[in-house]
Amino acid sequence: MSVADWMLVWKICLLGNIAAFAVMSVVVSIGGGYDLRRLFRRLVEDEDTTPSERE
Amino acid sequence: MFIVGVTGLSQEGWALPAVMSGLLALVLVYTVLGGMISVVVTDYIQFVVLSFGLLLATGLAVNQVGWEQIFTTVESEMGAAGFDPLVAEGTFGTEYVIWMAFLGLIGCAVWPTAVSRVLAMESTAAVKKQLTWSSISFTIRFLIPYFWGICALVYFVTVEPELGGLFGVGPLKDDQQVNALYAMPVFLGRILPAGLIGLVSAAMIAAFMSTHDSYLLCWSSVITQDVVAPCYGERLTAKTRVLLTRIFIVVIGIYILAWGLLYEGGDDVWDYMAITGAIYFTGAFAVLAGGLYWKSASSTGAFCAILAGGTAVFGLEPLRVKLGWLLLTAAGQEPTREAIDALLTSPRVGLASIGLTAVVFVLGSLLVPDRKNKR
Repeated sequence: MSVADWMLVWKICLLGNIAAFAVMSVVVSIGGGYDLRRLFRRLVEDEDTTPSERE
Repeated sequence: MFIVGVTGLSQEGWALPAVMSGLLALVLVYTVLGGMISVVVTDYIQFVVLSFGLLLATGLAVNQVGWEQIFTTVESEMGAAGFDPLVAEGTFGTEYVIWMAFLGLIGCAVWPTAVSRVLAMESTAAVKKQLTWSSISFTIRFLIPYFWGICALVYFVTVEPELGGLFGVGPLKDDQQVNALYAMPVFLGRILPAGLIGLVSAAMIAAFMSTHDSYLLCWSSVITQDVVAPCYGERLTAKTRVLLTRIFIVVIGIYILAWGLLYEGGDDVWDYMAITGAIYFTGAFAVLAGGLYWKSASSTGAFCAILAGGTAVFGLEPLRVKLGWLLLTAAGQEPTREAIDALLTSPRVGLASIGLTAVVFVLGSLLVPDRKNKR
């Protein structure tokens, strides 16, 4: 491969991955927030469960 | 080093040890107190801050140095070696590319911090989803910092060549006086506006913390559950295990701080990390691949492979030089430093270690099969 070909490879690699990461950042930031809220809610529910109820 | 570089602190003296110690102490506190929950929350916050900081900083870096200028400057400074990793005049080569490809696979599939997250997930469907999405962030976490380094090179060659000379690049490269690792954070410190420097620095601190809390929790859990607990049968209570895990977190934290401050080797930081990781993952990979896909794999083969993986330690510069000296002397050749560096590169030692663990795994399994296989 020539230098020009390699330049094109790296340009596509860089731009493609940055674009994918930008989309993923938005999705994960929003979705992750909901997931954490669900996690904390479950932890609170688990803590509220009495030992007798657990058995 | 990033924090020291981007804030303009002196690379000599107290700044680096103080930053390392302070950040590590912070990580130890919340990891000991919060365990996996604190790791998850920190990782989420780190991801949000880091991802937007990365994207903004990258946009500003490209805007500062110019998109096409990046490629033309790299070509003029480094020629084909700036783009083709396999070219002979470059510093990488085929061995290095194979070594890095293997590391990439290991980083996703075998590395304990990745595996410990996977094992903490609620279902295999969630695991598959997580690994699919995180493959993008795995790529970006390497790609963007490297790209920033490239932008730093272009900046110091084209915009501030006097400063570039201090880092050993550009027309004044013979004047190098500063470790080139500081070039990228100094570059970001110069191009980012005040608020964004804070955001990117916070993102890097968060990344540091996220990395360390995962490692501390992972390895302390492994030592507690897989080394100490089996010695006591089922007698260790959950409370005792948690206490032991917390103690090991602190002990490991103190050890890595001491080692980080005291060790002085000649390898690049990334190569050092690859070699020290290889001590574990060369054997672990053979065990994982063989255990999953080969019916004749045995426990003896697995133990032998794990032990053989320890040979990767010879990739570290002090040991590599001694081993090279021994090999060349035994072969009747003059053991000059150039001859040693040509014979034993760290990728070559790493790849040899992988080969050795595979051979040892197969031989050990064939010679000492597990009892059930004999039936």
